[in-house]
Amino acid sequence: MKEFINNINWRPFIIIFLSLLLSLLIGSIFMISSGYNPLNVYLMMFQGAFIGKINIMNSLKNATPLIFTSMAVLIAFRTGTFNIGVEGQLFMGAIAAAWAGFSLEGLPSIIHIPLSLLFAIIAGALYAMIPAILKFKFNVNEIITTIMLNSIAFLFTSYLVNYPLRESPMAPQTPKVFESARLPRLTDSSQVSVGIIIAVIFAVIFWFVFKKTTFGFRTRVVGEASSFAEFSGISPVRTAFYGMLISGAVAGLAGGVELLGVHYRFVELFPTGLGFNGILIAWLGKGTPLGALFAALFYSGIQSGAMTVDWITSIPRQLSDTLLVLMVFFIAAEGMFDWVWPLKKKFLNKKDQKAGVEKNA
Amino acid sequence: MAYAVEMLGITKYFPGVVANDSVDLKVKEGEIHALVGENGAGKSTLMNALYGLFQPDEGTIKINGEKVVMQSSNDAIQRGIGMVHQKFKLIPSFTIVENICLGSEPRKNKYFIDKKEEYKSVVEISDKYGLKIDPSSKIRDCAVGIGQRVEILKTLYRKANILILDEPTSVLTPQETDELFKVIRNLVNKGKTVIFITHKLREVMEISDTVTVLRKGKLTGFKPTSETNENEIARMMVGRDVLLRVDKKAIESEQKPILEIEDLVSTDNRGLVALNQISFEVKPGEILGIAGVQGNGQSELIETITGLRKIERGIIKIKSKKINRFSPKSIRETGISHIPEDRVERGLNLDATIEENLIVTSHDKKPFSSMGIFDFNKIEEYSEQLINEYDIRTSNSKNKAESLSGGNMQKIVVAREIEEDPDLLIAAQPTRGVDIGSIEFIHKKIIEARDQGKAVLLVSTELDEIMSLSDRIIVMCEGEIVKIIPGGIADEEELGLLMAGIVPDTLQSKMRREAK
Repeated sequence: MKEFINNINWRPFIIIFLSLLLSLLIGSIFMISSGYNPLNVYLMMFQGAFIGKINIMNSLKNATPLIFTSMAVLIAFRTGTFNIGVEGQLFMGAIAAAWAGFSLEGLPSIIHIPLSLLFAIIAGALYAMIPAILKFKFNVNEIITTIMLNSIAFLFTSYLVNYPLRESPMAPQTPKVFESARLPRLTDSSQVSVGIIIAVIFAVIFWFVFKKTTFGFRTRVVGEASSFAEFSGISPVRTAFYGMLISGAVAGLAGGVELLGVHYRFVELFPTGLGFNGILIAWLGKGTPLGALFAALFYSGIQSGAMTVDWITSIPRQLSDTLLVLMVFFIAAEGMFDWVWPLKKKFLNKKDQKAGVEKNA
Repeated sequence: MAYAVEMLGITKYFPGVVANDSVDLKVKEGEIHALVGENGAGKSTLMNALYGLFQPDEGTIKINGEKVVMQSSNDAIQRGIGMVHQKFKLIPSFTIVENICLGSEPRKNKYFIDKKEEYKSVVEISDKYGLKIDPSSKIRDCAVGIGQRVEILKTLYRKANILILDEPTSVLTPQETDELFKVIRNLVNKGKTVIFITHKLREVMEISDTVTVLRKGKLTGFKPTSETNENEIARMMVGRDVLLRVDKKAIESEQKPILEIEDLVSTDNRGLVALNQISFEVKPGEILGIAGVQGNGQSELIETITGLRKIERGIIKIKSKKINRFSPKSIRETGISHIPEDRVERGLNLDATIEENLIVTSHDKKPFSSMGIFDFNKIEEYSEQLINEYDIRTSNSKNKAESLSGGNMQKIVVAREIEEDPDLLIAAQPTRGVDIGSIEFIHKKIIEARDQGKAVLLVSTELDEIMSLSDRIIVMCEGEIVKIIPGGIADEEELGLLMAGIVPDTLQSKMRREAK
């Protein structure tokens, strides 16, 4: 047991902890300047996030799409591709699920739900195929194309809900999906659906694929050492192409689950930022599926906590986004901690050296 | 005679290793001092300490009898120490003069460089030490040998009296090496002191006055060169007797070739012709060596055969089957395996574990995986077996490849590629940057493969390696085959000329030349 504890690499945990601490410190500057005691506010936040059934359910609801989008970011990133287009693929998935949900009538739930989700998956994958083909066939930078395609997805779905799919002249929105297409909710009092269960299962599947399968191995080899992969008979282009398609499919699924589980219809003001926050959460989770799962749960906790703080005080709910961005910033700048802590590092090295020398002798 | 450099009791720890263990280095003024040792023996550590790149944990350094502590390479330069690194640190788009003066240009005033003065002083130094260059040509247009001269001039421009040359001959042809040796002798005649790092024993014997040998961070030999010999130095380096020549059986009967290449044409990364109508074949049980100065089409040839580079024209056949448009994977599956020249870029994934690196080419086959899911027990078992068999020095098969020394990294590549049981083994620079002990082992493995009836295509810039292993030798120059000669009768001088593209008309003309 002692050996097990010694073998754990504590560094990531220490870094995450220090990042959290620093973010909270900086956040408290805002609160003090608004005349609040940061400790009270953070306590309020914690209660709003994790204490009480309603708060917990609300956090889970917020976490659901983020788990999917962070997985979508992860798989592409593993092959060395930056899918900034998760946001747009999510929109395409949501609108496709909405269409399948309100236009296919008379199906039983057991067929209607999977079918609508399948529409979402296909829509997301097809939309991701555009930057994938451009990148792998014509060598066009995927970061630029996916950013552009995000705007196109916003405008295209906006056009659809304003004209062809508009329910009534009253508001730019689609009809509600049929009961048979709605994801069952876990409780009556909140919007959290079985989507959260699907999301957790997906995170575990991703963990398994990355850890245990040949495909997961190939994506890593391609991302880490592209010319080595090619040399070893693993096609970097094909692997990264599949990575991008899966990424788009999962992003589409995120949109589908969000629509069929929470909103039931596509409104022009469909929530934005789920894709972008997925990128941040993938970072926060240190690039692993289970890490991202916990990061998503943690962040949505902060989110619902910040909501509570917003109701009670005059501190805006954007506090949660600020804290997330700060944390990701500190984690990305992890080298900084070595600089802040040179003495600690020196001490560790000395110890390692001595241990190593004794072993060699 | 006074010592120019005295390093006494130098000890340097790195996490987990003692890179230098109370090492002494005493270099007399005005001598050529060879510092030899296998990779990882601590040569670079010692020299980096002398050049001020880091400070030793214990020990003292004296320069010209004066005890010094050097905080940075600037301190070292101030004290007249200059270093020529193995990898040149030159800017290709700058001229030779600009490269030499970079960072310490003579100035007209605070803001402007005095170009005339710059040019004048470079020409002066180059004349004084007999280092011929064209001062205004750009580095990118220069041969490797010239680049090296520029590096030496750079140190001289900064008034170096003690020059450290780190494996200077590894990039040179035999003729260029001779030139370099002339330059070194000239420097010493003009009062400079030279520390010459190498692992080529022949060069030690030829050029040095004194030799210091390191093994595993410890001093194992310090002698005047005239009082020792190649075998003794090799023993001090490795710690046991080393076979410097390779033993091998003679080639067997005529058989159908495994690899056939006809009129092969392909281009390099810039789109220029790199291979110009190459034709040859490799038979089972034969090692075909390809000699040539680096950058004369050898890399492109191998990339084309292994499917990593497009074929412009011509035919490549494996076992009489045309493989022109095959993917790298299908080419592997027809029975080719490949030890690439660049083990860090192509041969290994340094971020991955030793296990992963050993199975990567067959990770999707049984027993390592079935239905796309790995069997980690089988992988571990197999890796442990190869680690034993190929003597890969590591504490755990799950260590990252980057934790190994160059020689052990190369053994991973060699193990993986030979265990594929190929019909054709392509070995490109299989022993570059590898210690003597590992070289001997890798050579043995290559010969074993040949004796089992495999065809071997060996590409190397080390003439010794080509001459001792090959049954036939192809000499390449500027993308063409200059000549194909039987391995047994090749001599180094002839190969050197052929590598430079000079074809001695006949053997007779050569004899006539010798008679003169």
